[in-house]
Amino acid sequence: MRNNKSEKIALTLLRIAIGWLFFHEGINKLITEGWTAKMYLLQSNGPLQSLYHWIVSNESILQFTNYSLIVALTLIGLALIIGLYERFFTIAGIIILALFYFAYPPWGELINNHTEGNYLLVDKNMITACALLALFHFNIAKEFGLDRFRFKPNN
Amino acid sequence: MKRRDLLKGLAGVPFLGAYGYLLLDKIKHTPDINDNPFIHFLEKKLPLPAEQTPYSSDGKKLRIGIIGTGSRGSYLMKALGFLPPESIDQMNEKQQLLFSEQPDLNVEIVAICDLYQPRAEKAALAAANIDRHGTLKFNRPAVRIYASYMQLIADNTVDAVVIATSDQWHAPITIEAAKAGKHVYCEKALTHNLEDVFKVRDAVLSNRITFQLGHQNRQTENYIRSKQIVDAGLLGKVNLVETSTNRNSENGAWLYNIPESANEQNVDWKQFLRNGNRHFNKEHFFRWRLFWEYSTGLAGDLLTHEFDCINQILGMGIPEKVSASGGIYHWKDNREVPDVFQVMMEYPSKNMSLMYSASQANSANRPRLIMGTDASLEIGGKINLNVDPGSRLYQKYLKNNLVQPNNAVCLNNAESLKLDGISSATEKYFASRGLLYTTHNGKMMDTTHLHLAEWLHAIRTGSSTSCNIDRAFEEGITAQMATLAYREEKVKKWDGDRVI
Repeated sequence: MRNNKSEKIALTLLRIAIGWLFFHEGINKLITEGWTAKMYLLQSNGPLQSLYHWIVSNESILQFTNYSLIVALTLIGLALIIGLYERFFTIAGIIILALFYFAYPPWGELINNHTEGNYLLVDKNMITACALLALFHFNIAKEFGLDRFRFKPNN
Repeated sequence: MKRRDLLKGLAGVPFLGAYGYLLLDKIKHTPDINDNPFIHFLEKKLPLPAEQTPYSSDGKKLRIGIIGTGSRGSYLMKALGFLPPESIDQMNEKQQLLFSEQPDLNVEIVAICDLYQPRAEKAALAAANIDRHGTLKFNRPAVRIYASYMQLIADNTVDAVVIATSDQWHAPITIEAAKAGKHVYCEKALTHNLEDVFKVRDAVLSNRITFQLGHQNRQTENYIRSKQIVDAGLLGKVNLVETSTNRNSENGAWLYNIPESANEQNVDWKQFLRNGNRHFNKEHFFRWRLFWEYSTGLAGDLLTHEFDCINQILGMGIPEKVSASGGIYHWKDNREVPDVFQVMMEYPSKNMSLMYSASQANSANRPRLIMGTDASLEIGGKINLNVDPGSRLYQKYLKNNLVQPNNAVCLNNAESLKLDGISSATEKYFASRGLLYTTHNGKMMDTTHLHLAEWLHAIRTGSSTSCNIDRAFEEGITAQMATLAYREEKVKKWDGDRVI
């Protein structure tokens, strides 16, 4: 990686922005009384539909999924904002985004008035996942983030 | 540690602080949706959706005879858990899985009757396919085929019959079966003529059999929910209801396939005719819905579904006055029944009208609309409550801008009330997007399967069916009034005992 300060600041901002997105998704679900992924899962139409329907079919598995999702989103968000264990959490973020992507894969009709945008193959989940993949490789938290202390304990 | 290191290492932390500050500020300044008095009012008035009790299939295995195995009869057999092996071969993996997961109703199909021999033979194989196998694994002998319904009813091993014949035979078969003490699931329309409606009711009641009319909409969660909404008084006084049928295809206009191999040898034409001695006519046999001699047209076939759906929600019963109009405006074939058809049903003593309108040459999506003095209810894939600007019930909420007039409030269930309120910040209270599921205790289910399951449950336990003979009588009389009003070009009246 080139040692260019503006590039590093830009990458750090990208990481924080994605972290913010995850963190707010987690916190928002946490403070929303009665939030559940049930409807989202029930209406999913992608290749993972049967898995999602199976989750919904059992109340305790659904509850477990709800809590896991909140914890995962919040933790990933927090870690990305503060730059701790960046490489681990970028991969965790990519996995979650893949689960979202395949719940409503944008492979269908060109015109869909019920969604807030129009996508073909590539959607915001995929772009965010690609950005996380780049962050994984740059590993900028080693310099701008708490990972700096992990890698330079005595410095 | 250098100050530079510390600052770089903690680069993200201020953003966390900023997030916390913004979130708290937002929480403070966002009105809590759950604190909206309008929502509180709805929640207080509207009970939670009733938990549907699963229909138990415990107990004795019931032995069924199927009379009529055309497209509807085959569908009913599938809903009972029986498909021909080759149909299972033709399904994709997902369809096979869905079918294999359809609950076992603890029934056996012991006999088949159909007037077209190849169809009866296929159904007899389906009935034998108790393991739900494809052709490779299937090796059971076909079940008994009877040449006439009388023989099937006389069979002592038959406990109950499913009737899916052409309309003109519904009543005679139901009456015979009732006399023999067999329970009956009969497809709509209840009968082909007016006198039969009374005869069927008498036969069912006097022989105390368990009867279910094939309006599977009785099992649909949305209509059960709509009844709760109306009963809670959320619409005010209902004065007008609009409901419709819209189809635009050959199949939708009943132009069914006529098998080339069908002939006088494999079609029992004589038995098909209830009256008269018309010459063998393949079109009449396979497309019987187009001809008055066997069919009740749109009134019996599709108005009945709509009527029963509204009757399920409002319980308004037989209309006091019925007028009808329409014509054969698009399908200029040999048909006798109209393809565009309107029926006005008047209920002066209930201060309301029910308006039905059908086209078999247009497939616009017209949701059912129940209009009251305080709100309208739109029932489609979703249930939308539209508060009326002139409402007294909602006056104070309207005045305080807590609800916007004629802005859909989605009321599918308690969860949708909460979720939609949260999912979109751009819409004031509720997103109006539909929630696509017709469920039975959280599971996607075929309504016909549930309707049959309810009937079987009722046979086993002695409980009542949702579309029992009283509801069927109301449907039957109404359909006959509509048909007569159209054919005689007269207003037909119901005086409480008879049609005049």
